Amino acid sequence: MSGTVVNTLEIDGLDTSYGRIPMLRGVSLNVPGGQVCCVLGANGAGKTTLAKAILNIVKADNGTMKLEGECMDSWPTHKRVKSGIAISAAAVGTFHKMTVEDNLKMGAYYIDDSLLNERLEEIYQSFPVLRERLRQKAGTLSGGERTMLAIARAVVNKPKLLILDEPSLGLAPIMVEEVFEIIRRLRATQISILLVEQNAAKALSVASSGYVIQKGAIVFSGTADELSRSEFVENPVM
Amino acid sequence: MDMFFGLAVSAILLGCTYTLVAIGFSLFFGVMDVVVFCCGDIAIFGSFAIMGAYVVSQSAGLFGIFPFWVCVTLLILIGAVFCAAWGLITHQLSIKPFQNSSELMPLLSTIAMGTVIKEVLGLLFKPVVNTISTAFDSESAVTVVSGRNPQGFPSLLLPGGTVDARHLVIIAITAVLLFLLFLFLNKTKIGMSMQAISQNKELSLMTGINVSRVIIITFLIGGVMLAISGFLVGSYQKLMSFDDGAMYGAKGFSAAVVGGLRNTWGAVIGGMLLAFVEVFVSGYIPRGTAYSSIVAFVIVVIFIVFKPDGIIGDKSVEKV
Repeated sequence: MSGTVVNTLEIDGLDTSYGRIPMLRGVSLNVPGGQVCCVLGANGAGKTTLAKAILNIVKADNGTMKLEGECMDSWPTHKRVKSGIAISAAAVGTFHKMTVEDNLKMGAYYIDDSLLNERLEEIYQSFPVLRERLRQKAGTLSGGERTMLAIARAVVNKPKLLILDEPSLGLAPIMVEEVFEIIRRLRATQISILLVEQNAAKALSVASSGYVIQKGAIVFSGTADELSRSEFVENPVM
Repeated sequence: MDMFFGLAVSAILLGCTYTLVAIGFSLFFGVMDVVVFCCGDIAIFGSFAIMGAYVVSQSAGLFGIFPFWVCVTLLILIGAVFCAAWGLITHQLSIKPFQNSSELMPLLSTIAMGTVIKEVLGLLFKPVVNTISTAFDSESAVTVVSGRNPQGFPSLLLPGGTVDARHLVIIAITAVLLFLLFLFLNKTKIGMSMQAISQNKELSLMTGINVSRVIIITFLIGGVMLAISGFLVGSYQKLMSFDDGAMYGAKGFSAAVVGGLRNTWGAVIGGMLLAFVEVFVSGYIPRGTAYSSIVAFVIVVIFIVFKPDGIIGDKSVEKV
């Protein structure tokens, strides 16, 4: 195995539907270990559906998914999280009536109590803004702080695979900058990241490979360089 | 002033019985986003289960063998098991199958479940049960004409004590129960998960909470709460009818709406508010007893129109 990059996530021929309307059609993709892989696409292309299907929040009709080579098709959502997949979806929000600290503790659902404080301390070091807000209700945070909390909540568990669903959604340019700085720092920790983004330029600045999804199907895949030269990404309307 | 004090105590007492049913509504609503309309019936089922278990243990001579309090605890436990089971049955039969259909479906099916509970109680509890249970306690002896008439609830709470002492014990038990619930919801992982699901179900899934397991646990715990509330209602009323659940359900639901359906403490405030209004209307307005429930429900309507989120509001009622 040495020398080759082991894929953290492998998806093969994934179909999903919403009622009788097909959403994803035959999606296959790999997230290489320790790298950032991005999925680019317009609104409604199926990016978020894909992210949720990986966690079995959206049920797959067909296809197989493997986490570090292990087939996880039969795993319910909580088992997938426990096994090391974490998702940060800014659009889903927070536990708004809980404090920031309790939100993080919910994220650390599967961490042993004895390790919890140490882990939280690490999080506060990476996300200093959250330390200032510890006792504050998550519902009172600003949009940027909420995104930070969403990412922090997802990485508390030290996941093998981190799915970031539109982390730049609705943020001011300066906050987008900050969020991508965090993604760069996370990348340096050798965690595998699946970055689902509409902002192609930003996503490609941190990703090493990626996919373009249109109307529920993968239409292009390649390295970050290939992607940035492709017609799909050059098209500013995407 | 004496009258005021007496009325306040009665109001708190009545409020206790409403509060516990209201908490059932708010716990279930929190995790399922569904108003489980048979909460009152489950509570009354609990008090009938305790009555039935009492009759059986009486004839088995259990009360002669074990100390009184052991027997009473055992009876309450039996009621709790029955109610937890009904909670689970309600979830499995009348809520879970309709998870993906219109939100009206579980409303109707839980009302249907309430009717089922009522009818089961009406069928099971024949007059013969009553004559045995009241023989133990002359204070609550009633003449029974048919199987559907009120059943005397056995005196299990301080049988030798005064009425006032018994009422204080009811209030104390409610307070302890609320305190335990507070600890459970805020200090345990399952309790925090219940709050998490209530606040953001999708994020709870993403966080890795085993949502379906937490929901089942919620129904079990809610069932136990309702059983104890059934025990307290029975000890307070002394006379139970198989269809009392409809009234307690209506009052409990109203209390939960007034307080804020999604908020457990709203249920306490709502329950107390309704009870105070009822008791003081009965006490201070001549022949007010006839109007007390009407005034209480008018207040509920006013809340639904002007503050649908309840006193401790969150966006909630729109989902009903």
